[in-house]
Amino acid sequence: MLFKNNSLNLFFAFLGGLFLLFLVAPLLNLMLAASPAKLFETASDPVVSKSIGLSLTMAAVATFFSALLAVPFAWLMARSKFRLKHLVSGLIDLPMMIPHSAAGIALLGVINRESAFGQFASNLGIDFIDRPAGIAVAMAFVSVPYLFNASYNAFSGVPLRTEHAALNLGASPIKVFFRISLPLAWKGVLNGLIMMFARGMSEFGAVIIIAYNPFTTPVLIFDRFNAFGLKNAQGISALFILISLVVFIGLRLITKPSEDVRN
Amino acid sequence: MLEIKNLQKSFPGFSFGPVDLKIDQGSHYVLLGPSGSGKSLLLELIAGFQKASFGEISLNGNNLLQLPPHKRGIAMVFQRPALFQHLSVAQNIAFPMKATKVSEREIRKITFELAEQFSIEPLLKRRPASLSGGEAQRVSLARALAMKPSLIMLDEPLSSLDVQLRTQIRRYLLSLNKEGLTMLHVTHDYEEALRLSSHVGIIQNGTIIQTGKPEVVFRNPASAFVAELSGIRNYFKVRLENLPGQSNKIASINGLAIKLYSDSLSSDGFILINEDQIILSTEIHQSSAQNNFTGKIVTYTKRPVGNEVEIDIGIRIFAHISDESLNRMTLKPEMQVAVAFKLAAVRFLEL
Repeated sequence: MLFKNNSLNLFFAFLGGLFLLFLVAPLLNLMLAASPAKLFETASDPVVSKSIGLSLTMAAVATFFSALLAVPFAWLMARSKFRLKHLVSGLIDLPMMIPHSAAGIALLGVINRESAFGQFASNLGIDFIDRPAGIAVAMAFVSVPYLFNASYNAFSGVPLRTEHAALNLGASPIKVFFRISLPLAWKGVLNGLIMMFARGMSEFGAVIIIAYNPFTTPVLIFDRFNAFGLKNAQGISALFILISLVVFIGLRLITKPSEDVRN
Repeated sequence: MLEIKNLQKSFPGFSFGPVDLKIDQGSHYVLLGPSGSGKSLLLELIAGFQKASFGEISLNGNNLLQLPPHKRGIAMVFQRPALFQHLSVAQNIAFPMKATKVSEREIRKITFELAEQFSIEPLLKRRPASLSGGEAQRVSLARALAMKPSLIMLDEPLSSLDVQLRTQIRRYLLSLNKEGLTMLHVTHDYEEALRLSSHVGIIQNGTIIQTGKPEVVFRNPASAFVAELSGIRNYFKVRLENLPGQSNKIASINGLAIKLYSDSLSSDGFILINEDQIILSTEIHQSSAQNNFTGKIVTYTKRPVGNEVEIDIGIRIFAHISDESLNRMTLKPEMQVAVAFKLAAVRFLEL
């Protein structure tokens, strides 16, 4: 239908072409600018490889701990009706809406070494500023709404009567959550985990405020660009995009459910 | 025995109850009411999915309101089978047993026995998404029975099925009830109530307005609402007999032989005679009607349109006639009348 010889369709297809070009051209240009030899050379740089390792690890840590808090809460929200529900949903979306540097500043106000929470964490041996823990917190702060929203939608799609049926058949509420609700919502939750991980590892604005050092790859790209210019930053950018692609395609393949359990 | 006392639940704009109800062991209690009357809410209150505002619910002496939903021991079958789509049919049936201390070996044995009982053995490895409506409802029943409930609640279990599948599931329900399983069944379908119930209740705006044996409730509706909901009052439990060489059949009731068309293969069921298609006359006429009887008028009652005349022809039947006919024929109680109706006025409902 899209390619029917209809002038409106043709016009929309033309607009779509411009849109796709806008998305693909800069990435393609970047990949073409970086030769395989240059990519290899960039990858061999220990600072680069360390930053990639840090970005991936902290994104995974942020996703894991956020999941423990956000996924059960998403279920609770999906099952609750209360007057201020829209307000709570809006609050959760807030970190996505505000400039990420501002999010970083807001976060810094709470976790800096002089703050009550910062001191409390410091007494427990956890420091955030210029530490991997701070990077994970910054990543989690700005990317957890993706996980929450995907999980919320997935749980909303699980029929309430299915959970009622499980309760009725003698399963306790916690068993119903782990054996019925979560498996039925798993595909959506998994998408949320992947989106959060992806958004987290690419985070720049909030991370640079909390931890300029140690370098995550987005901060390193910025640092190299500032110090050595565009050409130097292109290699590492291309390499990170390539790694992101490999990671996501890999994750999608590994975690692809054999069938849609909710049909 | 399930006993409900003064059960109430308030929502903004709707209040349920007070409801008092007793369901004896082994009975099939059908609660009949239109949608929005609160019948599904009653099941949810009993199951514990909704919290009662006031009242008591006890099952065999145990106060259910003090127990969380998963400890109430009452099975529920939903209108659309709430099967767990990520589990196989066998895992669905085994689900309630996993919450108990039954051994894996015993679970497998019971699962297979239930599958046999409901003719679903070939489906055990399948996922619910691949089942037909009737198969899914049978799995749902098997799963409910796996928890060995002392009471099973049925929330319009037949309404999402087509006619053939309804007959099949209805037979399972009848045989389970015969085996002693107590049932609380809600529906808006009068015929379903007629076919299955040992006791019926009529619910309107959150209150049970009449309850009793079906023949009492349907023949003596306590209000116009009950009469309208129950529809046809001329219904009789019968066993059909074939007429040699004819497509017509005969239903015998109290020595009366009522002729009807039926292509049903089953012989046990109910006949319904449409009140509007019964002709009363003061003399016997030759007509095309094949059912001709004589009887005495017992009483007549004014209805919103016309009158309902009760006639004793060996059985009590009701005829609907206009004011004009009533006056012209000067009908009155104790008067002898001829009663005629065509074969097509009689409908057979198989069990």
